[in-house]
Parts: sequence; structure tokens; C-alpha cells
Amino acid sequence: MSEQPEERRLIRRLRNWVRSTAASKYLHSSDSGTKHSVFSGGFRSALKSDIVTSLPWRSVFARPYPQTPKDNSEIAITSFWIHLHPASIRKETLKFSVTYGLGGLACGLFMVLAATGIMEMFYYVPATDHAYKDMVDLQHVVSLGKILRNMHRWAAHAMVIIVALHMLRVFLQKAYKAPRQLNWVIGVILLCLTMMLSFTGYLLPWDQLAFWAITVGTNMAGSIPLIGPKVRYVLLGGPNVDQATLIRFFVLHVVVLPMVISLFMVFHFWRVRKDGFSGGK
Amino acid sequence: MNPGSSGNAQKDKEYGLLGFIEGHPGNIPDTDVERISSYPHLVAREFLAFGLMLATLLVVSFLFDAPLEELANASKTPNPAKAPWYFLSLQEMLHYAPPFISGVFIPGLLVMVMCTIPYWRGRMSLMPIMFLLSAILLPLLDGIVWAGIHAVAPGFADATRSLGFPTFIMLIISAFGIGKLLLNPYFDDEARVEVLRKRLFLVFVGIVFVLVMIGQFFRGPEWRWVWPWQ
Ligand code: HEM
Repeated sequence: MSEQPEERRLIRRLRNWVRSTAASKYLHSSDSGTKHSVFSGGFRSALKSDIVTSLPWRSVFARPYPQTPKDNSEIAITSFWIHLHPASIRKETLKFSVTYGLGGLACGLFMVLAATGIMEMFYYVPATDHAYKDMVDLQHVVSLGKILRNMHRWAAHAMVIIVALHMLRVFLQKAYKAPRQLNWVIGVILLCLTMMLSFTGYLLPWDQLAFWAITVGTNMAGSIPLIGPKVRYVLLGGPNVDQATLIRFFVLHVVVLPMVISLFMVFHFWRVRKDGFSGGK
Repeated sequence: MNPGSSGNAQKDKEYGLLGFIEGHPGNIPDTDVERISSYPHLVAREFLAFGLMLATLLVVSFLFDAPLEELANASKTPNPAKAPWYFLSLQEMLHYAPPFISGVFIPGLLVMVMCTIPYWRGRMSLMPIMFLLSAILLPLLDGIVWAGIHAVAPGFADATRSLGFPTFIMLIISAFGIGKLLLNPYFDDEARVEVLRKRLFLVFVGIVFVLVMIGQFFRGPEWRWVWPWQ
């Protein structure tokens, strides 16, 4: 089969491009007769330099791979995720026993919950004649649906525990003292929001466990003197746990509370920066 | 950016007073404290921790299934109907005190007291906090004392319930504490406040833990006590 001129030109250009890479040049050079192998360190570093100087790489990672402490500090200022951190920290705060990683883990669990929760929403319809069936389908029909649901459920339990432990570590290390009093109060609000998120999510599978746990829970609100029944009515959207309750809890669980807790978390992190981190002293 | 977090104090430079205020944005960090860049040292650790957490979560999710019971049925009340575990301490208190006290009043006050924790200091009257705490504890202890008497002598307990007998006992006991406070309402010593704060908080955490455990593992039909192996 004869190649068309354009194709030939394309292939030639491709070949020239491959030959122009540092990796190829390295492979085709040799010192004292022995050929360079693809398993050598020299090949690896040549390939790395090809990758980090390529156009796609440079357009995503706008600056070169950091080599010096100064590069590291500059990254701390310009990269989004990393700029949440101070450019430099006291060395002793790196010790695991300063935080046990608990605040960070709470944040990480929240991110996992957001990701798995959004995926669950692709399958879940918050209707009393649908919700339970959707859960059963998620477990038995949807590929990996069971893992998705398990992850969301276990991460939710873990988040309540981790946030409580984080509070305990902050208390025991006296990190709530001036100037961090306000951040402790924000923390208490975060703890309440975490439990509210978990509680509203509990109703969504619409099984016996969900239905009666929410009935028991909202009956407590109903016992407030004078306004109790009204409060309960507003929570449930009616006299009993029913469709109106399901849609209320759904909206609270997937829109209102995640938004509110995100705002408070951002505020919390910002205050950690402004107050200065207490640990390691 | 926080100027204090990047630069270090230099010997031959003069600094304003603000530079020495801990936590002030203009604070100049000590030169003898070793600092390192948070990228990559801290960031790498965070990613590692996140990865480990994710891996653990995946393993757990493959091994254990989230519970899913039968379809919700308003006419079929399970016995016992349990709240989620983190609310079991409330449900357990429900057993000892009326719903409003145990489910709304006590938790609401506790959240408020918890918010005040960092603001307790020396030379302050502890009256408000003591007042709040006894408002929390009295009805609860009342219920627990009554349940105790009821276990030993049900007839006597029922007969004296309306007389508020346990409340009376609790009032006598707390009168000692309140009397002591009336004589010396000020904690003028930071160290004493510290001890009090620590004790109260840890006792609180302990009580919540015990109540959650009881609710989760030791409560059966009619909220009766059952051993886990029964
Ligand atoms: C959604 C829940 C929460 C998240 C995601 C979160 C996250 C964090 C993170 C990442 C830090 C810095 C590093 C660390 O200590 O691990 C931190 C610090 C802090 N947190 Fe939280 N937290 C939460 C809840 C709470 C709660 C319930 C409290 C207390 C009632 C609290 C009080 C504090 C305080 C006072 C600090 C400053 C500690 C210091 O400077 O040593 N936080 N939090």
C-alpha cells in the first residue's frame, strides 16, 4: 500500500519530533560503546525533562518543578490548594502527635462524602414510593453501587467520631485559649452541623431504621413547652413523618447543610491561619 | 499575607510593639524556632493521610455493608426504636427525665456551656455556669435516683414520686455546693479555673460516652436493660 504524500509528511514530522526529545537523544547516544538502556536513570531523567517542558504540562503546572526552598515558598503563594497553608511552618508542628491529623481528616472525610453523595444523587429519588427501591437497586443492580453506598455511610459515621476526637485533642492541648476562643465556638457549630447532616441523611433510605429513628428524634422537638408541636410540624412538614418530611430532609441534607458547613469550615481554616496554629509549643 | 508567617526577626532591626504580641498579624516569629516550607513537607503528609484514609474506607466498604432494613412502615413500630448512635445519649436520658428536659433543654444548655469554655478565666463569678450546670444535672440526677430507688423498692418509689422525694435529696446535696459558692463566688486563681474546666469537660465527655454505649449495646425492648450476650 502506497502512502499518500500528506500522510508521509505527517509521519516524518512525528518521527522528527520523537527524535528531538531528550529521551530519544539519550537512547541513541552511547558512551564508550555501550548503548543506553530504557531502564537507566539517565533515560528516566531525560523523559522527566521532556514531560515537564512539554506544552500541556506547562499550561497546567504554570511553573517549573520546584528545586529550591524559594520555589517551594513561591508555590505556597500561587497554587490554590497549597496557598491555604502558610508559606512556612514551625518544624515541630509537623509531629503527628500535635494534631493526630484529625482536623485534616474531618475535612478529607467531608470531601469524600460530597463526592460519593453526588454520585448517589444520580440514582436516588426522594419520593416515598421510590427512595427505598432506589436504595435496593443501588445495592444490587448498579455497578459498584453497594460500595458507593457503604462508603458514604461509613464515612458519615467516621466523620462524627473524628470531629469529636478533634474537639477532644483541641481541648486537651488547650488550643482553645486566646486568641483562638472564637475558633472553638465555630468548632462547636461545626460539630452540631456535622450531626445534623448525619441525622438528615439517616431518613433518606426510607427503611424502618430511618423512619423510626427520625420519628423518635423529632418527637423530642415536639416536647418543647408551648411551641413544641409547631416546631415538630415545621420539621416534618405535617403531623407525621411522610413525603413532606422526606423532601425537607433531602433538601437540608444535600443543599442547605452542606453549603452552611462549607462556609463555616472555610471560616474555621481562615481563623486557624489568622490566629496562628497553636501546636508543638 | 501574614507578614509574621514569612519573615524572621533580624538582629539589627527595630521592631514595633505589635511585633511582640502573640497572635497579632504583625508578630515577628522567634529566630531560634526552626521553620520549614509547608510545601512539600506538610502538603505531602496531608496527601498521604488522605490516601490512607481513602484506602481504609474502601477496604471497610468492601468488607461491611451498610444496614438496610425493610421498607418504612408507619404502622409497625420496632421495639426498641433507636435513634442514630450519636443521639443515643439523649435517648438514654429520655429514660430518666421528661422529653423536653432530656431532648431539648439539657442538650441546648450543654451546647451553650460548651461555647463558653474558652472564656472561663480567673477572677470571674462561676455562678452562671454553676447555675446552668445544676439546671442540667438536677432533673437528670432526679430521674436516675428515682430509677435506683424504683429498682430496690418499686412501691415506695411510686408512692414518693409525686412528693418529689429524689428532687429533695438532690437539692440537699447541691445545697452544699451552692452554699460554698455563695460564700466564695469568685475563682480568683487561673489554676483553679483550669482544673475545674478540665474536670467538668472530661466528666461530660465520659458521661456522653457511657450513655451512648449503654444505649447502643445494653438496651432492648421497652428500653429494658439487656446484656449484649443475651
Ligand atoms: C467539620 C468539622 C471540623 C473540621 C473539618 C475542622 C478542621 C480543622 C483543621 C484542619 C484544623 C487545623 C489542624 C488540626 O488541628 O488538625 C483545625 C483546628 C482547630 N479546630 Fe477544628 N475542625 C472541625 C471541628 C472542630 C470542633 C468541633 C472544634 C471544637 C469545638 C474545633 C476547634 C478547633 C480549634 C480551636 C483549632 C485551632 C487549633 C490550634 O491552633 O491548635 N474544630 N480544625
